Amino acid sequence: MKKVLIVDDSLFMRQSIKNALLKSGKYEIVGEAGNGDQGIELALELQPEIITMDNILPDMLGVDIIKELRKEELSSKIIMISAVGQDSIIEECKRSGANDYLVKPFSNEVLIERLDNLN
Amino acid sequence: MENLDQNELLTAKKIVKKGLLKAAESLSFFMKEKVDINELDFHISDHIACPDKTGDNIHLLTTEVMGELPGVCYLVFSEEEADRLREVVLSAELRDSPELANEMKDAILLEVDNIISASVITEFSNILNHRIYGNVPTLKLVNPSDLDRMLKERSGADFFAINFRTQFLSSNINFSPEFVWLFDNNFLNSVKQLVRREESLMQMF
Repeated sequence: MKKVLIVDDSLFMRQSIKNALLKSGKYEIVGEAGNGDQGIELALELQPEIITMDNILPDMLGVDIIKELRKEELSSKIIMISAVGQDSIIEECKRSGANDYLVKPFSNEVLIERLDNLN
Repeated sequence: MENLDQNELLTAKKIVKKGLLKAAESLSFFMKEKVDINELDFHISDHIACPDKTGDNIHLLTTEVMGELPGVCYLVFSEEEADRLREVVLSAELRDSPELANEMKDAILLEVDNIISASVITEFSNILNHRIYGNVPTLKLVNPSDLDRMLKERSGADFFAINFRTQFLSSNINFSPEFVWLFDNNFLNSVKQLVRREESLMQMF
């Protein structure tokens, strides 16, 4: 099972993502963070294979977290999961090291498919 | 306060309608049925009519629009509408845990607001070519006079020159939350620039 860290300030989103991934039987949730600082700390400590990352967090932007993690040479696959769907922002996140970008809302099936396709 | 000519006004209304239709699409996803928008109420003025909600527990969700086109949006639910939304969105897994379901009461509304306001912001950003995003939303329970006062405080300031509101409508159930947006002159200037760009392009061909 692949180890996943969920970074999202929304309790509802964290719970929904967690339920969908556990139900698939392919993923294990190793940590959850509700803000950017905690997200960086847990990512570096837990070294998960996949990180699901919100883009607007109370203390920082997801894109800045990705830059920070890539600077630390973290090799986790990162999928941005955000309601922010502007073309320019999606491109910037990918340029900064995100492996994929999923715009909310989405079904559980789509979420699992996108995580499965992270290679 | 800036004004728009006929062509610019038409363009502004089209952009706003496109954004709000996108929001209705997102809300339909959550409600698991078709949600539409009522007629668009669009004004270039600093006065806005208070949403038509009653009771002491009106759920007011506020999202500040950050970046190059600052503004604010409000999503307004009656208590019954908020409960209806929670009931539909809450998955079976969460319903099985009363403790978790209770913890999720506000989180659901905040997330729905986050997603539908972002749907509109994304449309505006892509069409007007500006970098904007919604900040983390907040939820307050208010009565009608609080709501009226809060909206007037924000829309009365010079900062906000444009406002629009609509009502989401569902055919099967009594569900009609209201969506109110306030922007400043930058939004109008952006529309003007877009119209000028389109006119220049037309002249080229």
